[in-house]
Amino acid sequence: MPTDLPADSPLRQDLFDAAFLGRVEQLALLARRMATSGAQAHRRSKKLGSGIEFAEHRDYAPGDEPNQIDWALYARSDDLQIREFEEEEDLSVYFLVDHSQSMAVGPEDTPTLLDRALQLSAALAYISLSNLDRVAAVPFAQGAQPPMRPLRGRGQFFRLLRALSAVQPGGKTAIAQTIDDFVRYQPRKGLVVLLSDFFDPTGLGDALRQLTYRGFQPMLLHLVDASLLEAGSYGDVALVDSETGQLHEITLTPAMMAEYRAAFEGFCADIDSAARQVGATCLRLDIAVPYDEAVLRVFRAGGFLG
Amino acid sequence: MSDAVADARAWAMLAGAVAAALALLYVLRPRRRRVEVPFGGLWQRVLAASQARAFGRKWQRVWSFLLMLGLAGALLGALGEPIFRPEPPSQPPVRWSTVLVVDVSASMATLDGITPAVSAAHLVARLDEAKFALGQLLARSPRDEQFLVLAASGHSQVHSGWTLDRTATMAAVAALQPTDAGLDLQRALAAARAMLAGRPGGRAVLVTDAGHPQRQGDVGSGAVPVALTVGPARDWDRQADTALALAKLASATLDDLAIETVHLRPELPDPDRGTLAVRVRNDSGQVQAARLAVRAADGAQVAADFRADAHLRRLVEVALPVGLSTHIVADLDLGQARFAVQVVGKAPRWVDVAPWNDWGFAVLTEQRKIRVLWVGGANQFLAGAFDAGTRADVTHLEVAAYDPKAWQASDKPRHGIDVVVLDQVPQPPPEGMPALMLAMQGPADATATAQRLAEPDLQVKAGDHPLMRAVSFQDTNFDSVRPLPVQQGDTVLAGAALPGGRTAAVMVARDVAVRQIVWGLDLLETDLALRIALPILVANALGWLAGDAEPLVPPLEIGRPWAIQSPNRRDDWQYLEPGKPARPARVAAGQLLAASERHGVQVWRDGAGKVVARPTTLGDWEQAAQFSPVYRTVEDRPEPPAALDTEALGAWQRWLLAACLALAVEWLLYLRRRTV
Repeated sequence: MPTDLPADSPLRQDLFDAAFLGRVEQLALLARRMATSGAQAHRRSKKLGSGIEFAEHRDYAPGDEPNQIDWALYARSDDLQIREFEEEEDLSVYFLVDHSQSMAVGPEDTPTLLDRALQLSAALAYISLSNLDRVAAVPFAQGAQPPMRPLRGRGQFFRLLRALSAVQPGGKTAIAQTIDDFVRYQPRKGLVVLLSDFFDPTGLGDALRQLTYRGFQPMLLHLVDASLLEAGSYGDVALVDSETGQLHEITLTPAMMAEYRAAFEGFCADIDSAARQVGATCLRLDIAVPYDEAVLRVFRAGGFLG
Repeated sequence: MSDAVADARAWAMLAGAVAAALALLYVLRPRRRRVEVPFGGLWQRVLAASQARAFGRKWQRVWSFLLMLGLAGALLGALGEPIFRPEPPSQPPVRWSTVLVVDVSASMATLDGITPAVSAAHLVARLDEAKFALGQLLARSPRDEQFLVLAASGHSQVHSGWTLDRTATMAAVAALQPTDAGLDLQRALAAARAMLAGRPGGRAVLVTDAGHPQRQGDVGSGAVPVALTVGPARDWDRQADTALALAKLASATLDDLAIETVHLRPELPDPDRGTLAVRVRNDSGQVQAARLAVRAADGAQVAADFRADAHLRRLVEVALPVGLSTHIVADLDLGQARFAVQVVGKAPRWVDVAPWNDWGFAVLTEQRKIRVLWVGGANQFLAGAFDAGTRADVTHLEVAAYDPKAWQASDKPRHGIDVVVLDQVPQPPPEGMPALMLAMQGPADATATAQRLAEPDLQVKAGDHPLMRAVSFQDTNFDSVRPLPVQQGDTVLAGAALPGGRTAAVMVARDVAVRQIVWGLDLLETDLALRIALPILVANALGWLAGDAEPLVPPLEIGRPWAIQSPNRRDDWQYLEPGKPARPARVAAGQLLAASERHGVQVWRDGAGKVVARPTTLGDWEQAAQFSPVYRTVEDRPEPPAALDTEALGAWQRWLLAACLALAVEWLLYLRRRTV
């Protein structure tokens, strides 16, 4: 059940101020320049339809329009074949933004992973809108909300910003459930940009495989906070899982922190492996990196603009 | 409160305060910092991997759990100790040690308290009075005072060991019984000092009717006893502010009659008749009319055994002057070997309150056979003298067959002869053998005859010699005697008056290396052979030569150790102490060793039935009317030396200390974790 954006929801000025808007315009120009320079491949719909560019032949089946029959080929081979053309249509880009509680962990008065995810999705969405793509933002945590009606054109950018401004942190991360919900709403095929910390105990592989099976092209933007890999102080601490509230009493030592960093690297390697298995792009972005720099890294990594 | 106990309690309180502070810190220790992490799963993996690798960390929880279990156990023990084990904390630490030296000598059986208005049934023995006084003393004593009961008489015996239990101590005191012995005060106080060695707050409480040892000056340095005096009161008693209410009496009502000694002597030539000499003491200050009851029995040992009427042999009315007096009971039938004499007051207003000293005992000696070798011709007078006595076992030998070398003392195991009698034999007696020589001719030794006196006037020269006991030469005629030369060591028993007033020895006894008797007379030339004096003289001579220096059995003094010559070398002697079951006797160096505090007849018996019996005498140190000053109980005792008594700590306090230690260890472990 698609829901429309709230018409009068306020913008989060701490995220989407005038400087941000000016910066995303610059990023859009910069991205277009990078795309025309051949650094980026064109992205077209693979839907066959009534386009002008020939795609392939197929066997005639009763019910097909006679004018679609390739009579010239019939004359040569006495075989009824139907000519199919690629249908020209706009690319749909879905920004699946993780707004689970783990995305809001961090010191006060500093941007959180969610803030960075919203900024990144907004910037990338503006570039997509500028490219006349259809853009939709889908916040998710334990499951995906019904996707908003895809927006098209720059004029819809503020609607998107208002929708993103309404996102609040909360809930647990359940990516598999999110993808299930997302594909159940039968959106148009397109690019699915996952912005998350991917802290999902059930893993990521099944969700990515389902996306590709359904015809979507996934792209993973792994947001990390490297400051959490360094202990502020050692000693006895009670670690509280931000999403489950589970308590882990532990004595923090330098050795223990080293072990934790190693475990995190293993975790990142698992994500990269899952992405490679489905041919998706995975880009790890530290929260310490400014969002504009992060946008440029996305473009450099490839897989976003077509 | 002594410093030792105060220190112990202070330590306990300090430990308790430390424990409480540690427990508070443990409860209020800083909580762990709460750090919110985006994904706890990663930390969980890290923890699992870390604990799986590190042995210490793997077991850290177990150690901590065990430590906490121990801590909880210690705390539970500390809390539960007063509940589950109430006894140990109820035992206070010992601060005082008191030896109760209770006089159980014979005089403590004296019944005091008699007045014309009070019947004998209400009399109180001094030992009962002492028990009452000790009961009050125990009731007033602090709970941290331990007692030991020492029964003192001739010997000192620990009657109950050190204990804080008043009931047990009082039961031990109540079980005390008077003995028949006197009080050896020095030995009792020495034993008390030995018992007090190393004990805190030591003192000795002497309960006696005797005088205070310090006044008598017979106590050395060390524990100074406190005397509780019981017995007859005197003027200075009434002025004394005694802590204990003791019964006080007038001395005029005391029974002060006592039998000191009893001597029994057979009257020869009839060994079945005898004479009893009884020495009685009257300390009442006035002449008393009394009766001496003489009893005889074969198996009796103590007064209770002799009390039966069937044993009564003679009842003699006597008037007892003040002080000592000796009374003779003659012509007694000696059919039984053991005799007892009781002095009984006769005045109707006069009640015997000291029955313990009213009895005396005597025992007839064992009349063993004397084996005699008689060498000489036929002499019907000598043979009759041998037969008159019952002890001589005579072997007759003609003079021609006599060879002195064959009867030497070294060959006694072979010939078994005790005494040799040579009648008109010119040869000397066998070497080393006791001999009686009726030698008109005389042997060729130092006692050889010198001259013959006609019709001499024979006189007894040594009437107190055992040979001359009951012997009289009055109206005895001699045809002739032969004077004997006297040498050093000879005793002239009888002499003949010579013209001019001189005297010649005609009967000589020698007791130098071996006993010998020489008579310078011929039985066939005197009418002595027709008189009673001859068998008495022969019997006395045989007894003296056989080694019987004293025909009467000497009494044994109660409360003293005895050593009695054993009649044989057997080691299976049994000692029958009066009133007690038979037990193996101690035999050492051929002597029977024993000591008893029971007045009566002491009996030893060997496996063959041989019996040795000896009477006892009370001695003269115990008198019913012994007056002594009263000493008050000393309440302001010196404090025992201060020392930390770890035993003063209760078990629950030790548990608390253990919990304290565990808390400290846990705290240190926690701090170590905090400061990594």
